[in-house]
Amino acid sequence: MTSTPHAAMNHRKLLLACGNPLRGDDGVGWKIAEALELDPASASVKVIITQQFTPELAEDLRDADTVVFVDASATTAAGEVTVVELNPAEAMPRMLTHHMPPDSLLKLTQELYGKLPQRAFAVVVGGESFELGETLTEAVQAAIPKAVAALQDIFAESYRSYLLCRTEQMPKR
Amino acid sequence: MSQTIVIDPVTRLEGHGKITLKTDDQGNVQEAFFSVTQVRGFEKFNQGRPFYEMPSLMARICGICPVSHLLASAKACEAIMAVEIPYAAAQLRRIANLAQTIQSHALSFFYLSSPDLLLGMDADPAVRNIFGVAKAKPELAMGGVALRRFGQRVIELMAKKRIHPGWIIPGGVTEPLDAAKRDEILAMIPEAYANVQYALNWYKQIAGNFQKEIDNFANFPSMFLGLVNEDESVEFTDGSLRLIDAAGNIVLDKVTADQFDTHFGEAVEPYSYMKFPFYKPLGYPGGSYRVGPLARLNIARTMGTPLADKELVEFKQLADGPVLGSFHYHHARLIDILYGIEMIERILDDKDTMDTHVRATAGVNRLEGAGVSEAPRGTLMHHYKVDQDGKMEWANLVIATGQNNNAMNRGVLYAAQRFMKGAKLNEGMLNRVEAVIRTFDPCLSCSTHAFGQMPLSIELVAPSGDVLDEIHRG
Repeated sequence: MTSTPHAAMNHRKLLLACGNPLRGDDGVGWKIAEALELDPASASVKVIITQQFTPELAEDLRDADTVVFVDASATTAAGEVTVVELNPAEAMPRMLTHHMPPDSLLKLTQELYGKLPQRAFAVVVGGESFELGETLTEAVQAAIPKAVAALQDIFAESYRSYLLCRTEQMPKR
Repeated sequence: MSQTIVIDPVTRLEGHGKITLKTDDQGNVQEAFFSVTQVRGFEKFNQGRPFYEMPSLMARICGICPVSHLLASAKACEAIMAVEIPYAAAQLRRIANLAQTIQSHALSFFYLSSPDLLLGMDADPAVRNIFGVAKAKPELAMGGVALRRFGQRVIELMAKKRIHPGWIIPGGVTEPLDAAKRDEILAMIPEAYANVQYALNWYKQIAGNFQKEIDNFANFPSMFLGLVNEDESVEFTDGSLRLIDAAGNIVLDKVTADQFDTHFGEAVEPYSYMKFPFYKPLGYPGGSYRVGPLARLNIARTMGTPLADKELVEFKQLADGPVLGSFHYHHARLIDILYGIEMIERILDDKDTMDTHVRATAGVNRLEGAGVSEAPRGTLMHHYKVDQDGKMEWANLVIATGQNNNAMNRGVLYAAQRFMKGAKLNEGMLNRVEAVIRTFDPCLSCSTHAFGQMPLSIELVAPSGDVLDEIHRG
């Protein structure tokens, strides 16, 4: 996991990207996050890049006003960028696995700290190939600028044009 | 009618395991097998690779304790190179190893085991998890989350990545520690102390509620293996190996990594891909032993840091001689965490830790090398053979969890015999059998390098193959 220094801002912005950069398109979350880190206008965003979303990220969520989760999806069309607004899961999951879905992470944050980010979103890019390798497929590579633009708009608080649907969960793999 | 009870997979473990219980005609458990059903083959596919790639490759065995594999592997490589790494590199590696121990133990204690301890082993599985802990005792859950985060953040600051960092290499580390990162780590330490001491105080208050489990969870005489320093203080990164018996007598001492194979062998059972290490003079299974937090605290005379030493004195009062009950792994794990925090602080206060010379370089000077470290779960050994060009010819890994393999099997059998009666399955009984395994905090991903997920079902199967009863979880 890598993270950028958290600049002191009135509105605290957090990007959580996950995926496996050794499994093809599963690494697109990393690439998107790294691209945002290079954007000077996004310097105030705290970026955390990790293989999986795990419970200790609840501490970072506690301190955020806006959070965006970024990941690949195996169920949406390759290269399709989907933005969904997230709510905390209604119930805690029964089992703790290596990976916590974002809505469960939000729920855990709420249970532990009694607070939540005011705004939570997921930016998901459909993947085509998840085979061993560090290269993204063409469609997924081409989707990165659109995903980054979506992030920039969300963090700039002009997200409404990208709000495609409202759901309580990210698209499942 | 005799029956076979299968728990597959076992929940709240790292990796995937299966427990098979065979009963007699009266329904009493007669045999128990804890098995791992998948293999990944790290000892094989590295053949032909340059030896200096091994740390990076071996780190991929596990996402929880990659630093341990990096360390043992790098040390094996350094034996091939015949180099001594710079002092600063050794200190920095020590910090990373301790930070990993802290975050791994935090996972084990707070996420995986505290649900049983706080909510009770008969609590509804729907709430007997970290989320249930968060609801019932949020300060305990928050402390666990914070400790795990502390350990991961320390690794990230030093090695740039929390998981599978490439910073530990043959010869040392890739870069030194700067003052800003050192200061950030030091600033996190007071909170880390507070969180582990809260957990220790809480645990000591509630431990007495589990006397039946304490008495019956893998509570038997065994030998113990671990690293110690010359002054008999606990050691995680260097030092030498010591083996003691159940009475505390030293059986083997000052064993170095290259001598490991001389004294220890590995047995194979047909029902599991996890091997069974044993002390050769006593054969298998008589030469089985335990490793990990319980072993470390039994072997060491002192922790070497003031707060952990105070806890060790109290811990050693649990028994006259070595503490044998595996339930006490939970307690030992918390003392490991406390020691880790103290030692990280001490190392960071050493100005020589900040030296910028952190790497020794050399080529192939020996055709064989071995390295040992204490992983969170116990002693870990990597042993390599190379050709004249440094290409890997052979590798053997002796994993901490594998060294507890025999003890886990015995523990499952004991627990099943004491807590399971009759032909009716229920969650509480089955969870106690699983809970025995959890006291060892096995990392099955390391031991067999397992992967994948399986649907959860528990079947009660007659010798005829008929399914008499079943439970599904998840």
